[in-house]
Amino acid sequence: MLKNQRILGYSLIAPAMVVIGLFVFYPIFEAIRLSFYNRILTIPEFSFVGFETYEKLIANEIFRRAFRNTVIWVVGSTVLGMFFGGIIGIIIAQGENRITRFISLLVLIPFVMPDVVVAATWAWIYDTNIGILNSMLNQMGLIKENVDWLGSAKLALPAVIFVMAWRIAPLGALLVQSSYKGIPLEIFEAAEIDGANFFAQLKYIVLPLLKYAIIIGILLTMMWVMQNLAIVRLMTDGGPGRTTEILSTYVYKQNFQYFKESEASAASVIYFGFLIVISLSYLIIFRRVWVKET
Amino acid sequence: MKNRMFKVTMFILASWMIIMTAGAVFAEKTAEKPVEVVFWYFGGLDTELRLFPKMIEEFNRQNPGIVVKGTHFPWDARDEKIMTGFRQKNLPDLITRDSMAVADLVGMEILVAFDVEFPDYYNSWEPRFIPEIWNQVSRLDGHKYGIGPYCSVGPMMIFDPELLESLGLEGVPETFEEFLDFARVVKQNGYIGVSLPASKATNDMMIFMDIAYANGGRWLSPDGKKVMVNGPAWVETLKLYDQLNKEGLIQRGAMQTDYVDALKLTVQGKAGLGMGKDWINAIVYDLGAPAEKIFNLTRFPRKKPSPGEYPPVGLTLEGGSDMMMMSTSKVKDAAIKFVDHYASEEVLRNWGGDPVRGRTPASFVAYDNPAFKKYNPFLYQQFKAETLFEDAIEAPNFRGLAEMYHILADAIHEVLLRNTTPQQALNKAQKQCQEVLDRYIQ
Repeated sequence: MLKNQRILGYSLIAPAMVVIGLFVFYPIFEAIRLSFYNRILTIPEFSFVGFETYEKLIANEIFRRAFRNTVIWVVGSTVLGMFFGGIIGIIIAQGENRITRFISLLVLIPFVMPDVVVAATWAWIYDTNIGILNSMLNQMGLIKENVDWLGSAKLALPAVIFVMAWRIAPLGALLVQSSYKGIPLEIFEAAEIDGANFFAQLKYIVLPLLKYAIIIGILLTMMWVMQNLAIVRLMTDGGPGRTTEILSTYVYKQNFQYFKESEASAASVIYFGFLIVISLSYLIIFRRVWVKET
Repeated sequence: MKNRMFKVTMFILASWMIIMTAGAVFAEKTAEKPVEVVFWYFGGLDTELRLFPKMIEEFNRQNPGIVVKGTHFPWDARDEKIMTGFRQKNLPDLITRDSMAVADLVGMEILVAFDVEFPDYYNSWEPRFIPEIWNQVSRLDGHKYGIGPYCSVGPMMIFDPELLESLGLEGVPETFEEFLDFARVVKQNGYIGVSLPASKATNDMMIFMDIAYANGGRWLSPDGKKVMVNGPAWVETLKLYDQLNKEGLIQRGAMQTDYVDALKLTVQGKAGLGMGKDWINAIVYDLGAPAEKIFNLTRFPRKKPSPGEYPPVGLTLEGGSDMMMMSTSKVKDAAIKFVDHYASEEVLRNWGGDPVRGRTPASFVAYDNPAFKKYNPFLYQQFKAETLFEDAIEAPNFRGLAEMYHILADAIHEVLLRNTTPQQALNKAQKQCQEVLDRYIQ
């Protein structure tokens, strides 16, 4: 009976497993397989070259720069996004009325806008000659001449990181807001009686209790940032020079503009490995903390 | 009894349904269906996007046995669509592409050479086209892979003669030094001296390349094995860009300004001089400039004497909307008829200023269109004087070029960011480009 039930269970999930295998595992396998060849679509002949593609990739200055920029891009966007998202989440969780509900909706706007619209809007805001950012800063007397936000080697990467952080902050706000509302009111009341002010409550009650939500939020936003292509592609396309080149844009160019399939696959595999390492490390730390506390 | 009647009735109904369905399927299979030709076209001006559906409709009407199904895609999607179609073994029968793509597509073994597979059609088309364009553009190893109604030619300079005159400037600059002098005067009067397109867009890099070619530079050595991008013509061109930048004669944010945004600055009267290719007036018109407003074009100034190792080029020629046939097509005999329609004088005439304006036509008949003289006075004058295509050569077309343009863009940006000198930047670019080229010539 039990055996029959097991067979029934497996056969019921089999179609879903086939689909997952086809759309998730097969592309990963194919990318890994292709990375061991030297396939360029515009050259009919290609052969197995083992790790040679990886060696060339790692020796490539542009790839190394893209990798470095990706680390800065991911860490910067995630930390900034979760930090501001967290603050917004705590603020809007303070009350439950029409105003806070309305603000909750407004906060979602960056999250629901398509990447293309976000990139086009911010490219216009940052525009050196007609952008409203320069116009505002000029009127406030904070700058004497227009700043080349996206054309400056020093400012371009922080500028796009800020846009990505703006994009993901609502996710952090939602996570923090919903977790905050799960904290029993009696804890805050007890803390008030003991004389704890807002910041003390934040430090000793809110942050420890929101730890798991923040950890999950950081992991999710990090994965989302890592797979984002449109923001950098449409705002700077990796420029000026390669100052904002990230692995997503690098892989895109290798594959769709230069037709270098094997190189693009190898870069994707390295990127995938990077993501796995980050996610696993995170989960291991998260599990240790959880085990320790329980 | 009732039960039996019911069963008989249901049996008759079921039989009738089966017979009708089988009959319909049989009829569909045996009926003569028109041959379907799948056609992808990419990018284009608004006037061209309105013209293509009419052209397809007209062809379908004239050829009842063939149905051409045209789908338009944005210009930026051209490589992705072809690549994914290639991988999925789902390519169309016909496409329109720039001639720069020929080497890559031939490398992928997906293009038909018209002179080999359709010699009769090829021979019938030849007399309609300007020989310099016909013999060079969309060719590889002597074979013809694309047929197009126009060519992008460059390098060109755009200017508003009224503005320059009001600033006390007469004539047009013909040398780099005169160009800088003009730009300085324009700047002193509160305008942007030159609107410089220096983004990573391929068109911006092609404008740079055109200037280098006009000064005796070439991408590759004559044997095609050595990259020559650090030659004196390229260095002088990059020095010009550097000088313009250092003196503040260009708009701020040049590295984020592509050729369209740069043109807008000139069109809006914010910049005195602009640079690009012949499509300047086409884009300006697309941007909404008044129909009767024509911006003046002239050839871009040159360094005197010519610094390059090779003969200076008059113009580079790049096919922009060349029709190409995929070797995977199963309906080539039908598809060639549409190519023939595209190459007919009735269709080619459209690129003579009406309705499509601002293009340099590839066919003789388009130059006879009265609208061409009205909307392209500079090009018309040169064509009539038989000097337009003097010393014109095809824009480079070899595998790996797309990657090399990006490397060139990096070099230009490094100089504009003042991180290095033009010679050093181009030396580095030469090494990187050589590595790219070596993979294809090995």
